[in-house]
Amino acid sequence: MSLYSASDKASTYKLKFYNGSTLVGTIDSGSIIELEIQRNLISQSPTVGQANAGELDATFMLPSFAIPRMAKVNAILVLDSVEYSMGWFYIDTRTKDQLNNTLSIVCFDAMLMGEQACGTSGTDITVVNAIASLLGVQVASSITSTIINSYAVPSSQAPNSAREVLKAIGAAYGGSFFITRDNKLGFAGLSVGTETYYLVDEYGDPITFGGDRILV
Amino acid sequence: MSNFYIGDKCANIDISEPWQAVSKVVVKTEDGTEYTAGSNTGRTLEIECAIGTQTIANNLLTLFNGFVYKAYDATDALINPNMELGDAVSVGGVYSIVGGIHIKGDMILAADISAPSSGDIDHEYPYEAYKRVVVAAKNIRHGGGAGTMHGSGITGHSLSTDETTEGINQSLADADFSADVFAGAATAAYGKFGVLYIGVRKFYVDDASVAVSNNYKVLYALP
Repeated sequence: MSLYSASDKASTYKLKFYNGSTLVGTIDSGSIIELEIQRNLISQSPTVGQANAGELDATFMLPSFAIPRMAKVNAILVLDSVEYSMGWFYIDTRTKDQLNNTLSIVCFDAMLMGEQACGTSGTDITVVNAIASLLGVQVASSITSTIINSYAVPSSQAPNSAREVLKAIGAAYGGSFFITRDNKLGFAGLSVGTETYYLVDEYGDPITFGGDRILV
Repeated sequence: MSNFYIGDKCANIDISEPWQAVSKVVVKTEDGTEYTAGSNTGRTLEIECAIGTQTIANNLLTLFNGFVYKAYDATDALINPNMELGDAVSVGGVYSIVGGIHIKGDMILAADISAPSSGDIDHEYPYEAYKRVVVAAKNIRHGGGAGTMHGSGITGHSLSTDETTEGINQSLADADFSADVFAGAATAAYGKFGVLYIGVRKFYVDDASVAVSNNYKVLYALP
């Protein structure tokens, strides 16, 4: 477990549009009018067994390039010239405003693809891997290190939607599934354990002793 | 999982009273079976789990025994760009989970982060639960191919918001079904698990679901 401090430096955003794996164009910060990203591990009262989709809402000046239907969008934060992926999404709806020459899009991440029959049974990790393929994503390391008990997912679950099956498996492990910022199927438990962190100064920078950070 | 420190670098923070420590876990399955582990000395964590077993209940108790959930809602928190859902965060004196991140595209990377309390329900969640839809079962035919069905001559259908007969009688506007209702093959008897396509709409067919009358079949609409 490591410490990351808050950042109060100026940031910008950009949206990269893909047709499959091919980059078709980028909307830079200067053309973005509004941008919101909402991702939830827990969408209700503290609970486990969730599999929520992240959402991107953006409005920007009409681009010079054509955005294909169901284009994949990578929302990127630029901070200190470093690009951070804030999530990968698929366009669900788009609204063109001819008067203001803008385009508004509503996008969801790959969890959206989980609204189809799971079609797989077996051990939990087998099913999770199959669902990840169904969603078109890889599994994050948080899954391979956590989903280890080989709980049985009976064939009676196979006709359920992939999301429903993920929710059942997540509940069995005391956590929830989500799509990570780098477009992988991730898992996180509700419990974060006891508080430990590295000592920092008032600016959030680490305090070291002989080059070693101090755990408190 | 990473650990982030935000401290008081947020515009506002609401903190709820922490839970009483968990001492008992109840795992509930779809058929109503309950698996219990632990004692009644603290809070009971009720978990709906379709694949639940006693082993799972025992393991969950091991995981959650003594767990104290701390709800908070921090607005415009200056987060680190590496923050991810499920990470731990120390904010406003609370150490808890990053249960939600809402980035608003400001010049400063400020986001609303939270571990919701029981009163916080995400009404804007884009997906609705399966809608129960009742259609004339006699008009559903297996269209060939594993798990794939097609609608043919779907008429007289109605939408049920629940399992009551009142719901069945609720009239369903045809907007969702259009002329495409009549597309699709009709080659075999109905009664299979699978996905039913009515035009562009997809319905999950669960043959184990209750047939609420002789002439109707409960389906689940996929968004």
